[in-house]
Amino acid sequence: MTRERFDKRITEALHKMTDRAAYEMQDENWQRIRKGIKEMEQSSGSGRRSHWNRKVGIGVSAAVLVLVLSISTRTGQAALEKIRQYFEPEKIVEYEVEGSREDVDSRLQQGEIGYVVYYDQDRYKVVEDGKTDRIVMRDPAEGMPEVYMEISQDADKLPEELAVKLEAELRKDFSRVEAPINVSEPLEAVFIHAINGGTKADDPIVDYYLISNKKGGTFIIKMKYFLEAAEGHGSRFRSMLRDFTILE
Amino acid sequence: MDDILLKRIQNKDKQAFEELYQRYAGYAARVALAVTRSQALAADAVQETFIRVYFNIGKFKPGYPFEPWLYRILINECNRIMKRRSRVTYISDYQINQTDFAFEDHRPFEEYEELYRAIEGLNDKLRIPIVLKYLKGFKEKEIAEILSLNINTVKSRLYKGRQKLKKAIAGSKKERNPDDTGKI
Repeated sequence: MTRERFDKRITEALHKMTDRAAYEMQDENWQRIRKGIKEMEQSSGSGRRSHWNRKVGIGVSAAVLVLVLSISTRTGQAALEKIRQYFEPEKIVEYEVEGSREDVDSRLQQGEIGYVVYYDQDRYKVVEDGKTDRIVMRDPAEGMPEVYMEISQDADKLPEELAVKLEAELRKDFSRVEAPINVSEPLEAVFIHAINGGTKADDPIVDYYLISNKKGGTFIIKMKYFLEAAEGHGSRFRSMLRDFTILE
Repeated sequence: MDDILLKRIQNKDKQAFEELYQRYAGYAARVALAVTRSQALAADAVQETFIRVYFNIGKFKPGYPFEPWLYRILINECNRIMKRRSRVTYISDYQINQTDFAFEDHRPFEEYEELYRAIEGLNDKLRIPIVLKYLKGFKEKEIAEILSLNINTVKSRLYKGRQKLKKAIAGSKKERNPDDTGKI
């Protein structure tokens, strides 16, 4: 059988075997959709989003959880190991990307610099060099602009001090740099956003989230992506950050 | 989707939303059924998808094709629902009145059923691109966009999917007729 005939037969089989069920579902689905929309609109003044956020809240922690323990002693190291065991090696994390909800198979990343985060293991991998960890695309398309989320630590500078330095550095390469602000979503941090251009799909974007390590230093989260990917990779990185946890 | 309909839906015009539903629900239901392999799960996925479309239509970028956006939501809902529920396939989901086809098609219904069962037997990674291409008619580039995959990965999965289907069909033909060479 030729490729064309086989392709045609696949199409015919899929159509014939879904004909009746699709027809039967149409009206009932519509009634349920109407009911669902009505219920969502009535359930809260702010609509469906707050309803979903409550559901999401069950699955993900909304803020950084700081686990206080010393890692300088043997007891401390044992305790750290226990804490690490508390985090499942893999779990499902709910992401919201471009209006769509996804349950994402996520893998635990335990950084040597003292943090844990869950990353989308189908799309990304972690490249470590001991001081800086980068979550990069597993399968980037050819010619695609750079996309990554980098995690590092500056043990000596507060988030506010670092923000001044990073903002000045960004101004050299980016046409628009927004002044640092404090944010609480996806976690408590000082946030800086920079974009070069802003009209072309591949215009680069850098976001910094600067998180206090509670010891006078800062965890630096740098996200690099591009305009077209703001709702895609940008949203995915922010979803990962909801589970970012510092092991102090 | 035309810009006027889009604007009306963004302004929460329920009639416009119903127009959108009537336009896109048929194929969405077919695709959901072929992906989830259950009428009950497919119904849930389609309902959730259109509710999400209604509340998130503001995130859709005007000027872009609507269907890849819609199907990205649909496939994500299918995956989410399949992960959360146990895999139960109800025979009644696929009961079709075979006599309906007896007069309109000379090809034995059994062959379609066999091929459909083989598609159902593919793992999710291979089955979903096959369904999007052959049932909905999406191009490889669009499938890559819907599934957030590299286009070469999509091509490779479609190729592997087709090969597996050919093998499965050849195998069942041989079972029915041991003298068959298996060539299809």
